[in-house]
Amino acid sequence: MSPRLRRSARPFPDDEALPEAPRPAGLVLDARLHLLDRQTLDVDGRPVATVDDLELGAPGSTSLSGDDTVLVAALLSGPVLATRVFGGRPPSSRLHRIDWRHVTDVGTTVRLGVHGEELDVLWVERWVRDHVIGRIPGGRHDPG
Amino acid sequence: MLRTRALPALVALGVLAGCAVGSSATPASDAGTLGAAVDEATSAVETTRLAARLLRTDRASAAVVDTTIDDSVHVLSDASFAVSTLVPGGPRAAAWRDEALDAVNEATVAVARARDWANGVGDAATVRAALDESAQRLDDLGTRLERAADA
Amino acid sequence: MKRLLGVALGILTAIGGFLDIGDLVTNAVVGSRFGLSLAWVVAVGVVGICLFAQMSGRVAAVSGRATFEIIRERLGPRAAGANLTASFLINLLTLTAEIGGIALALQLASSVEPRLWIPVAALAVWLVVWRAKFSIMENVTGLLGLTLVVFAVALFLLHPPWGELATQALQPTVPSQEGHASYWYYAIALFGAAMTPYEVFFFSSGAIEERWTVKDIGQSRLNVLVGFPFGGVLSVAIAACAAVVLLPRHVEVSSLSQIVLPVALAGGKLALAVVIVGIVAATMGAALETSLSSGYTLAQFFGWSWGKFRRPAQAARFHLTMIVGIVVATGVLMTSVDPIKVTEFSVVFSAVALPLTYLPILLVANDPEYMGEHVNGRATNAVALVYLVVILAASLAAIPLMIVTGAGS
Repeated sequence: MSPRLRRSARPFPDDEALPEAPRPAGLVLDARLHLLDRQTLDVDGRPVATVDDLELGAPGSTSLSGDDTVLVAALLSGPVLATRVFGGRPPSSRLHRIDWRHVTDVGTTVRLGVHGEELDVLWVERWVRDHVIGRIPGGRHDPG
Repeated sequence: MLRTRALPALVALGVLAGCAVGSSATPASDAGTLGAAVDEATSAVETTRLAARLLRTDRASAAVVDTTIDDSVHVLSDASFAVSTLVPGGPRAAAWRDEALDAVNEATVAVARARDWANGVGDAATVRAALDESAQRLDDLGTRLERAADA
Repeated sequence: MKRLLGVALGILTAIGGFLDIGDLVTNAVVGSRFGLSLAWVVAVGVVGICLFAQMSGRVAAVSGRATFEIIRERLGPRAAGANLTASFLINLLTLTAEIGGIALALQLASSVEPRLWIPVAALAVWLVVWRAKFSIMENVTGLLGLTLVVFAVALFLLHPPWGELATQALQPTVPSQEGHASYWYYAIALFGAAMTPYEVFFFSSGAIEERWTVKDIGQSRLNVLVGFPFGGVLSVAIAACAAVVLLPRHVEVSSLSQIVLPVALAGGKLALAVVIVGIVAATMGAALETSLSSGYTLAQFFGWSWGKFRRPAQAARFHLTMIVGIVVATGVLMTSVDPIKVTEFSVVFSAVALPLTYLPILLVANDPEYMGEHVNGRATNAVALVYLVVILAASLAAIPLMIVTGAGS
């Protein structure tokens, strides 16, 4: 904790007003609180994946410098969870992405505007369905 | 620096070496180990007695009684293993070990005969007598071992 | 009338679904060695499970999300991941014990060795998980499990010395032939058997499966607050039967066959048949719940599609997890390991894992973002905090006591 300074020793004037926080139009989100580890649902309300990490990038460039506007390029899921927990970063070609343009709403869950079938992120689910579960009798029928 | 690291290491090594060397068993601890095995055997024989009584009075099905006695046989073999692998610390403990082994073997025979009877071979009275005798013997031995262990 | 039947069904299912192989074995072992001097632990455990099951059901009904989904959102992937690993492994251990219990009960009915029943039991569990509707599965196993009330009936038929039993229960002392360390070890085991961690994940995910809303909170509260205590009474009845019949004969319970002997003594072949049906139903129900729990926790952590209300093709990884779990459990059992020993370990490790399971639920139940106005009241929070301390103490003491007592021997 910094020691308490005398009024005369403070580096700012007493009556200085702090600048107003910018209030852009639209929804303001905290990426860590509202996006990371949130369940993603597709347009039919079916679970797609949990957001394990975010891919950030400046529009039109692959490298970032100090004041560039950073945009969320995609939601990431899958093996990137391991690097999120233990550190490091997988190469760009190994990331399983959900493009940001597919996101329609962010609330307690992240809603997408596309069907899960079209997303790369769900390839394991489709593979297990087609090659394991689908081959067991009764797998494609409703329960009960 | 080396000395401060070496000392705890040497102490640890000494403690471990002490644990590894021979049997520091006292007669009381031997009696305790044998007593636990004899208790196990008593439990098995009493279970068999109860199961035999239930079969005699037609209160239990043959399947349940057979399973119960089968489980008792397993318990007796565990007890027998515990007794026979004990390394006695002296002549008294050796004598107890021999007696315990004898008692557990007698119990195993009685329980095996009970199982035969449950499956239709043998007569109820002999089986009952053998089980009662074995239970009594194990109980006496158990009491003596308990007194020796507390001494 | 229909509503009354629905309420009754809910309560009866809760009673019948309370007991599993862990409760059966631990209560019988405790009864045969300590009499009723550990009955107070059952009471403490029942209050605890009522508290946390009710909380997790409320979370699911109000927020529409299952507890484990929210745990990851609130605690982050590292803490939730540690929680998942521990819960999943202990779940698998419990599943192994339950399937073993089914096989042992079928051995009692048929005299066929358990190793031959294990694949049959595992296949039956998988088939129900694969095809049966959630509510039918719950109701059938719950109602059939209710037949375990025969333990209470048997206790009455044995004409026990009620005064002596009451003294043992209300003024607990450590029996002379047992040590203090063993007493507390079995207290923790009994606590872990009553407050099974999988129950809470199953309860909240089950609430989503049955599409509970805020209106259903009342019904679920009734089920839990009436059903679970009755289940606790049955637990104590099992211990009392063992205390009355087995303790005087110096029989130490180490197999399922010994657990049913008091019932046979009291009620003959009919009671024996009823109790075997009850044990098969209770262990089958618990096996279903644990395998579903393993699927729920893994799927909810990773965000997979899950639920028995979906066809398996639409929840492929969820079903694959459960298949793998059942196969692993079967593999372990086929090595001829004693299911009773597995059960005894599973209840102690359940006690060790309890803080990991219950602390997140407490945090989530207090979060207004998910719960709105239905957050925990002050009274609930006060009791929950007391329980958190108890759970932490039990969890920390479990492993040292296990080492000191040699797992209770």
